[in-house]
Amino acid sequence: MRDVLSAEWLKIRTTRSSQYVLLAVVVIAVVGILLAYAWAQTWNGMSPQSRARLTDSSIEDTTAPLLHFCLGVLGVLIITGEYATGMIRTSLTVAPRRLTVLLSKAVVIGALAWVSGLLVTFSTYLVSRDILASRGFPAYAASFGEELPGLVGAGSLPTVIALVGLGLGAVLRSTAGALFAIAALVFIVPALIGFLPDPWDDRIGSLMLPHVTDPLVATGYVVVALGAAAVAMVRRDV
Amino acid sequence: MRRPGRVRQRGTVIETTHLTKRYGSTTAVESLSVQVNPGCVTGFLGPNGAGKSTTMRMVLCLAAPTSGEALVQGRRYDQLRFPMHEVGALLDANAVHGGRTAVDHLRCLARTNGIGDTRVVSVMEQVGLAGVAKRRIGGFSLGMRQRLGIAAALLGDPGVLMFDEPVNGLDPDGVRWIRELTRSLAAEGRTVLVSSHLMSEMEQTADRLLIIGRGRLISDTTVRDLLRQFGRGVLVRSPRQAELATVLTAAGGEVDSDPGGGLSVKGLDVAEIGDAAAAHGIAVHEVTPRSASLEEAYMALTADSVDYRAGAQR
Repeated sequence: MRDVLSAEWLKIRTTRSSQYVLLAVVVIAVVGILLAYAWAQTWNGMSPQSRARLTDSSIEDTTAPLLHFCLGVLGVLIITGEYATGMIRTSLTVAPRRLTVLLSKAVVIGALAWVSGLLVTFSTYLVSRDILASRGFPAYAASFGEELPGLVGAGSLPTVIALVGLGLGAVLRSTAGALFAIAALVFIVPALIGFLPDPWDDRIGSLMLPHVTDPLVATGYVVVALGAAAVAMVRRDV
Repeated sequence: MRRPGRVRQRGTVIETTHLTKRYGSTTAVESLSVQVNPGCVTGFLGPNGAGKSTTMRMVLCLAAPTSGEALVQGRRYDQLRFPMHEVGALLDANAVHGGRTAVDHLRCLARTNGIGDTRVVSVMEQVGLAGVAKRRIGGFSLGMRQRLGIAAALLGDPGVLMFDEPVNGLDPDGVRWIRELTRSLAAEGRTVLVSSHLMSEMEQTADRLLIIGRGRLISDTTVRDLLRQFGRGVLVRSPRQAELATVLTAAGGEVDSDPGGGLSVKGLDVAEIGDAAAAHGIAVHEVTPRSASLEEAYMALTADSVDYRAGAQR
């Protein structure tokens, strides 16, 4: 297991697509910071009345969908990249225990998503708070201690999405199909749920992948995705 | 480091028992029972679509058999703890991620079996890719990819090697290199299974031939036996042809007159014919052994299998 894990780590480091995705993640962090400056500029030009009507939206919530999608894509690519090129046959020849390979990929992508999710979420929050709290933005009124659990949750959600991406990739085996599926789960379905009548829009909406806060629901997503992936990988010929 | 003790193998190394693979109503491999032994190159020969690759994929547990089993040294391949140290396989040279450099690709594979980077470097030198180690595989020709695949197979210094159509895409130099490599690997006591759809290639490389057609074993033979089986006798010309025919028949030969003139003799070799003629003082003007080419033998064998199959279905 340790050997396969180390190989998977090297694999993700040596493909360009994963480098591009991680570059995009850095860009998202930078965009968040620029957005905070833009909001501050807008605030500077606002009348006192408008200033009093600020909503409680935060920068990290605004950039979160981008982060979700990027890491979902990374989760998809780590496995469909192998199916698309045929590399999977070589990979499973040198490491024929398929569940070990799947689990190693899950550990590598999970760790990478978790670290980058937390880094981006916290850096975005801290910089935005530094710029916007003094200007009375409601989203940054609470103390860091009060926000901490929510930030850890938001920073961990990309891990869940990346693992769902991995599961979708292993089941669908096609980059295009799995990318569409992850985009549907992150963007399209949650948007459609918004059209449901009250109170179902909120009830079902809170179960949607990008809005999950309950750790149990998050675990459920991961278990279903990786379970389906395990069955698909063990059963199918490559 | 080569550890010769590990290379030396005895008995049957790869064994399939009633190995069968069906895809819906199509049967790719049907009840194939073969054994592959160490110390020689075994050619796995058959027309395209005969089931060679499917068989190899089942040996490597990439495809699950519908029934029957395939074992490597008595175990299923996916039970091997460090498979690269036991079996080196090249099935599809294009089954690589084109975005990786050659050296990174091999390092990724090596790591799964705890093989270090020094071995990667030495294998790249062995296959002649040291100069392009840092280039991306996407830009490699098929020949270079074949060499890369061979390098991957050699990484673990395994006792068993399986190459599926390894000379595809290679230039004449590369073809000769593969030929010499497979022969030297077998001479070291390893088990070498090489598939091809070209008899001309196997003729130069293989000692033993497993010929399959439509998923069934047609012939388990050697190059020499196949030539003998399909040999077309010896052409003999003599000014005293009728007398010589009698002499050769008496010596145990089967003599016919050849359509092109002369005698066609089966069952006697050139030396025996010459001796018999000399013993009776008959001059001979030509003694030419006429073996069918292996290619013809192969065509005849595989054509038979097709006829047999069609007949059986009627």
